[in-house]
Amino acid sequence: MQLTPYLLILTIFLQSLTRVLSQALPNESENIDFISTFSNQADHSFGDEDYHQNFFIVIPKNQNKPFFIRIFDPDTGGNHDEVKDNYSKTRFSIYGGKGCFSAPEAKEVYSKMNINTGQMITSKTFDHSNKYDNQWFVFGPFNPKEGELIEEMEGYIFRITIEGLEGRNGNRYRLFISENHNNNLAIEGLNTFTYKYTFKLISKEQSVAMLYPFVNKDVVSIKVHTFDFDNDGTILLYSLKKNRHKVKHSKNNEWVESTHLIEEEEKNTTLNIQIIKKDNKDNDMAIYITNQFNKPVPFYAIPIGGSTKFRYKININYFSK
Amino acid sequence: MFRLFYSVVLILFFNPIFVSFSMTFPLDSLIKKKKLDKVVNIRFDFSNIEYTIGSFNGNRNETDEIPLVLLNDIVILSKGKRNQEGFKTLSYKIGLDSKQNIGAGIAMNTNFEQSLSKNISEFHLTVNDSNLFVPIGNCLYTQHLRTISTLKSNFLSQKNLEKKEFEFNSEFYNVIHLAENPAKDKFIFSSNMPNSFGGYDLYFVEKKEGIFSKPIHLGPHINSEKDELFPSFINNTRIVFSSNGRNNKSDFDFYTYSLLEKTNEAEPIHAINTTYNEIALVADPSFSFGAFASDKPLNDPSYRDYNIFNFRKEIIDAKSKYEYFKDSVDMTLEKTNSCVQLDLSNSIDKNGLSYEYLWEMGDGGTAQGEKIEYCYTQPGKYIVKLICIAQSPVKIKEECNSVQIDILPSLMLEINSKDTLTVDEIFEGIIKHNWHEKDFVIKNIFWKTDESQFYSGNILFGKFNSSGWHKLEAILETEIKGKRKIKYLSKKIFIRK
Repeated sequence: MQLTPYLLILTIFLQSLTRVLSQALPNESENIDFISTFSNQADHSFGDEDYHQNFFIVIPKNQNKPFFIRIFDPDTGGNHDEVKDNYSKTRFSIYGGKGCFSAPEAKEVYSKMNINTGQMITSKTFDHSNKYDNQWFVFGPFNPKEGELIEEMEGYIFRITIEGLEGRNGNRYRLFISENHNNNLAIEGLNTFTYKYTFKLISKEQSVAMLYPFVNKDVVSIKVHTFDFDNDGTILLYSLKKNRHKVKHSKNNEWVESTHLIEEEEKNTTLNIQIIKKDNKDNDMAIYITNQFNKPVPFYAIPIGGSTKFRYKININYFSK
Repeated sequence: MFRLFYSVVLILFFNPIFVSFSMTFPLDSLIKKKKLDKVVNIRFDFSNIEYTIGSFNGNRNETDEIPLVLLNDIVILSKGKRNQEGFKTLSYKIGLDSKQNIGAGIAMNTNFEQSLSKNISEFHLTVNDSNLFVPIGNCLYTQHLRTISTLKSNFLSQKNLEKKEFEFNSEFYNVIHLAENPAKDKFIFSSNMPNSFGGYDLYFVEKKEGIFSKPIHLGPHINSEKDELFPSFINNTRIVFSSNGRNNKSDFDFYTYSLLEKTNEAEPIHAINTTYNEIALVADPSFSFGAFASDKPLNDPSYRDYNIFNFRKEIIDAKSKYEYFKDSVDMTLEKTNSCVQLDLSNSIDKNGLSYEYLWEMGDGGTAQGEKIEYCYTQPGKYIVKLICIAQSPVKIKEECNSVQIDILPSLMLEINSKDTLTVDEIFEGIIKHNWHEKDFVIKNIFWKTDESQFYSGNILFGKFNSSGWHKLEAILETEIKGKRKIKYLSKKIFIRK
């Protein structure tokens, strides 16, 4: 896309603005209603197959200020949640230290087991009591240096592991990584990612959820796996070279996968997966992407390099009549 | 053999009536009279890659034309016409050839027949402080130079126009082609006086406080065993002359020499010299514009003997541009492009869901489709936005890309207002444009027909001699926002019988 200098400046400004405001999970730009983790007795057809979820936080190396992990509506009942009983529990655990990210299991998307690699810093289990219903719970403060230093990511990594314990409820919640205990105050340069995402779509016809998987230079193809989409619309893939490629989507309680080749220009770029809902009903689903080696591809909350857009090339020919 | 003849009848200068008419030509009135746009088109030969040739349009039919002096942008030239009996001048004209290569005026037109008792003559002119043309010299001159024993050049005072014989005239040898520098303190003439290397050599004299120095033979760097003729000062120190005895060449070619750099050999002017005779070069001080006479054949064989050609550095550039355009697919371009074709078709991802494409053209207009054509009515810069539209599975209307379109003002070659022309019908060629006047100046227009007729001038008065399809081409030397640009236009014309 050709941008005039003014548009470019505006774009950079908006990106920086986005960076400041994008410490939430789900991120605003993802347009996802809630993260979903169901208790381990819930029916898979509710949208969660493995009842756990991992998010990774990348704290920039030069960040020395303590930070907080704020959770909105961490309880298993009341508002927002899928309530089937009154005894469901969900555990939120914060991991740092060696292995919280680098351990192979930490990136595992196939395991139905909880992951315990790294050093657990803190943990709390929430039930259906309404103390935190529609309220914020705050973990922390955390010293950034408690994370696992990953040089190639130029930051300390923390892992948030969410486990659905007993019960059948679906816990829907949001996270915010904040500099402040009491408010959502973004940390400059912070990003978050996950390898497998279970979430509730916005219950509105033609709402568009967006995911931002990043493909590195080694990726030549990806396989997009979706679970329990309930045939609730269309899933499209965008990239520099792909313009609205249809991604096979699942019906109720099933995994479906579709393979997409990655061209040279798409390497080291962020793809854009758009999930377009066709009706207003509630829908929780799961998604992950693997590369040609069946290794998971991360979804970043803030698209690395900016949101991807297909590049139209316009050929211009001047002539006279 | 040197076939030039030209003459001025000396006796005319003694005729009080003629003198009163011809010795002073107010420059302003001449310029007013010449009606630059319409009086004359000047011929150009685009086929010569070294320089573009122009000439007074009287270059035809057994006449010799010789440039005499360059005054500002104007070449003063003499024109001779000989009859079938030999080298006799029937009439003489002095015309103007402006730097713009347009227009000419007749400064003097008289019949010299009664004065042709002896061969032929030429004028040498200069301009005085009042912008009056003043003959400074004349000589008798024939094709057989060495057989004439007593030719003289005469010098006339610039102030009172009294005829005064040049101090170095002699009854025993010829003193011809007197030239003076702009400061009017250095003179060079050609003579076959006894100490010459052979034929005519060039001599130098200086004038200090009204007194001439002794003539100095200009030596072997300039003079040869053959003839050095037609010296001319380009500026106060650099001269140009014609020689047929240098560089083992037998035809007359131009050489230039700096009087300040006396150790250097005179340098041939390769850009102009040909295997034919080139004589009598006059040029502006920067040597970017001038005129000369040559017997080089023109495309039309009736244009024989000596014709005046002009040369311009700028025209050399135009030439190269012309060569470029000749190979270009835009050869038949008739006006600059005010329309655009915008084409997405090669970049559309056929594996994706389709879009509709809307183009917002930046002037309020729109177009739809993967490939569109659009014409702007006004020149300018336009930001075209490509809007991608989809209705399903979700309604999308977003800007997908944008490009800047730069529509130059149009430039159009038009011929009359008539649709058809007939053979031998005079037509007018004109260039129209919609540039803002402060941004766009047409400096020169050079016209060419496919019948090998060459012209210049803001308006072309041309004709085609045969029926059928013809092509008219124009090279425009323009100034766009202060920068020189060459534009090319052509038009196909059908000529009826």
